[in-house]
Amino acid sequence: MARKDEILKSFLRHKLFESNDELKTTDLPSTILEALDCDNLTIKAIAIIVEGLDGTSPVTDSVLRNQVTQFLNEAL
Amino acid sequence: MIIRKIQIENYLCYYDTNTFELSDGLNIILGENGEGKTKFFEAVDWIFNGENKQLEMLVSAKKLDETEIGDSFRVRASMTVEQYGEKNIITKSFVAKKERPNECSTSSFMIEGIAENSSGERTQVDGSILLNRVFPFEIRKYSMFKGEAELNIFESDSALANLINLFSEAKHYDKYSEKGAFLREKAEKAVDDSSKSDKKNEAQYKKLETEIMFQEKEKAKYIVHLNSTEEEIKKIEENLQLAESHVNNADALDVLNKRIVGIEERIFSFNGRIDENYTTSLFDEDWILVNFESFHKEFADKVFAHSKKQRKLQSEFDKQKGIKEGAQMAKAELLNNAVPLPIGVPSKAHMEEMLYDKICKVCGTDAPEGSISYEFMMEKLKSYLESQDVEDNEPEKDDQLFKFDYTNRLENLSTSHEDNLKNLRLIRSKIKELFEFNDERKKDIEEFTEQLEKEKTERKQILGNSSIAENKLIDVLKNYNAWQRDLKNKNHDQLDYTSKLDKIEIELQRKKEEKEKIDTKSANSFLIKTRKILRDIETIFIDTKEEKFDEFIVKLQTKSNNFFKIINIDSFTGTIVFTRRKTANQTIVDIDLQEDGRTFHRPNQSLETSKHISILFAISELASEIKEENFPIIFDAPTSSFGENKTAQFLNLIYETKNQKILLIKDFLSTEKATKALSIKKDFENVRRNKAFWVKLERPFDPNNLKTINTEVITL
Amino acid sequence: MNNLFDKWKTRIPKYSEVHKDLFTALSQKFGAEGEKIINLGKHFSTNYELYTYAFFLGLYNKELAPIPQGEKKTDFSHHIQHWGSKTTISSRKDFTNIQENMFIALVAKTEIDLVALEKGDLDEDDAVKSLISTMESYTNGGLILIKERLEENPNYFLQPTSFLNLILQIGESK
Repeated sequence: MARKDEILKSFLRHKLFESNDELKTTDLPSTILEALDCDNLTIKAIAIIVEGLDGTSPVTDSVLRNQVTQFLNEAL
Repeated sequence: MIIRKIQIENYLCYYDTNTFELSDGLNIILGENGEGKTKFFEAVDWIFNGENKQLEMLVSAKKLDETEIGDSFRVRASMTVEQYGEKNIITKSFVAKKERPNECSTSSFMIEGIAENSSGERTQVDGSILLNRVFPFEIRKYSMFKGEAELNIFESDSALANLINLFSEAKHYDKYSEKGAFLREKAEKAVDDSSKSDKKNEAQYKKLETEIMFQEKEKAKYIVHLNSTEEEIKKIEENLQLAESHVNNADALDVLNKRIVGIEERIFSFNGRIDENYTTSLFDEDWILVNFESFHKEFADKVFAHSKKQRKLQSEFDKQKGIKEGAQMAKAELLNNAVPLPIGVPSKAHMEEMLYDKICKVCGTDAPEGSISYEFMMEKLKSYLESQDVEDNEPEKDDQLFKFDYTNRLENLSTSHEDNLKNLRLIRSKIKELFEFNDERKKDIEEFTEQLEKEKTERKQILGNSSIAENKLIDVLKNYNAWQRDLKNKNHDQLDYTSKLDKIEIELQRKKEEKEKIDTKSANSFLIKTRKILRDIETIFIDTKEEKFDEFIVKLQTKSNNFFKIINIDSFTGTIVFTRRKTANQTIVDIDLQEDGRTFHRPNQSLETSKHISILFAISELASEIKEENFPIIFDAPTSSFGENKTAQFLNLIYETKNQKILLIKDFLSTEKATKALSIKKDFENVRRNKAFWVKLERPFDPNNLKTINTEVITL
Repeated sequence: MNNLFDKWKTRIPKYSEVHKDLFTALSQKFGAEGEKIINLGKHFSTNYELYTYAFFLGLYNKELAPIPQGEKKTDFSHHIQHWGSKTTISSRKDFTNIQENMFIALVAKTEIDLVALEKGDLDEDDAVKSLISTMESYTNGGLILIKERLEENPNYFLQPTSFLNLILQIGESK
């Protein structure tokens, strides 16, 4: 497991995801790749961030922000 | 990684080449102060950390002395380590050239590395790289300690941050909370700007913003107050605990003193009540008359007999002389010639009473007015009254039989003392009672004296147990009470600030909610949604980071306590507790010893040291887990405060732990008084170890002449 | 009415010089009370106290020991009527009543022809003389007893109860 996957997994263990009716624990992605495909906006946003920070090529703050905002714009 | 060999050549007190062949497990190097023990540590440290400055200070004076001017020699420290089945030799050295007597010039040092594989092939490698590979800096930092004081790594606030960076996953999560905050703030601003741009809301929005800002400022202010108060509380509690060991004594002493005074007062009062003035009581209490009754009887009888005789004579005399008044004759007849009772018997009062009641109360017959008995009594009374009247009514002395009357007074004396006889009879029992009373008081005194002795012994123990004198104890008590008051006040302040903060928080919430309402109504809904998501993400990031931090701390704590159990030679029943605390700038960890939930603020030195060593072992274990290999631990005099017995116990306990340990110790050496010869104590044989060395200066030596200084290394 | 008692108490009884040491050792002339008596180590505060004690001791023990002719007599210049009167020191009580008891015992134990006395045939002074003589004799007897005790056991009287016990013993043995 790459580190970024481990990091993603620990984020997903947060209780905010427990109380979410739409999600079931089995549905939680276990890798960044999976998460980037996920329907849940929060999860996907997290995946984008993790990839941006711990992925193969880290990005700058503004790039990161753009990535997140643009994604959300599309999704919402 | 295991250090197999260390060689020190011409470095300070190590003249020529000195070799330490170390083993895995526990290596003990014994040495008196100033004989090479610490220099060993410094040599090893020099290999890793030494700088290229003032190398001439490191040169062995003896070697320099022996060298001819113009000649040079090497100064070297080298280490052979075993790692992953490979042997690596790292050598740090420089050349010293003798320029003048006692002076030399030095080259820069160089670090050579030789790697020897399992087949024995040697290759040269870069020394510095090799150094860091065999014993990485971050591991070294927690593995090599000079002196007991250095063991407390958490004294520096940044220690936790360092540790986390080195050994914990948590370090990765730091940046996420940062980024999360960044993203959220941007989103917040976007929403704010959007809401503000709606003219309708501008004014109210601005107002809310201002209010919120104000509250946030207040909040920050009170947080600072609260933090400093909490720090002060901690300090006071520390002081209190320090004093408490004394004060428990002082309090107990106070109570005890009051008790002792009480008992002494009671003994004093008992003593006061004992009356043993027996001899004076013979007179003051008439005790001397205890046997007097018979004598009184004799007297009374004699007097009575005389009185009777006297009256008889008188009566006869009267008869013979011829009684002038017929009444007397009649009386005499009436009495059948019996001797009349003396005048005044019965007494005037009795006579008057009988006459009044008209009864003769002597024989109990009625004596109505006019009767003979009544007349008789009347006459008698009259005679008495007449006799009391005037002396000159008495007939001429010549006529009298008895010129003097001593009888009357004697009879009075008899009668009056008759009454007292009953008191005399009580004397013996009174004396007995007094004896009993005194005995009881004496018993009471005995009991209380025994108790007094007990209390005094207890008091001696309390004073003996406290390390300070009695009057100082009273002082400590005063301070203690003052600190208690301070603590109360600070706790009060703490509550105060906390409640203020709560109020502010509530207010803030309100304002924020108001703002949110506006936002929701007016701002771009996309922005709102984005903001929500990013808020959530930030929360997730922060929480997860905290979780990771805590996980690490818990891990560290658990490991520390595992080691602590092993090396706890003080039999402390509590545990090491790590508490994470956030101040304004950073996260600090407090490490306390706790017993039953109560913090032990001032543990004794050996307990502190055991705690620190446990933590270091725990860190070493953590490092091992992360790097997936073990590293040695090198401690110089880690237990100087322990004393020999505890050190022996300690060594036997850490023998059980896994890593290679190199410990430099000054115990187990004794100096023979006469010859000043050093020797190793027999007790050391019982100390378990894998290898032991003794570094000592070659004798004779002159401490003022470095040329005579040469440490020998003896393998035991 | 005449009072023999009044006459008797004006006298100063004597004791044999032989017992002078006893008085010096056991009592204090002119009196000592409280701390003084302890300081001086005396048992009896005054000479007459010892005299009284010896009298009763002799009386109870029936030790009528008239002072032999040869022995010189001496006294301590204190009339009986003052014996037991309260001094300024508050710790003691007045025990002048004991004078009467002594008188009673003396009258009981002395042969006096009261009839002759009252008739005027016997001089009052002579009667009182006899009483004093009896007193001196019993006292002498008591002093001898005390002296013998001390010879037997010099420490006998160091006990606070010793003088009391001597008096009490007589009653018990009866």
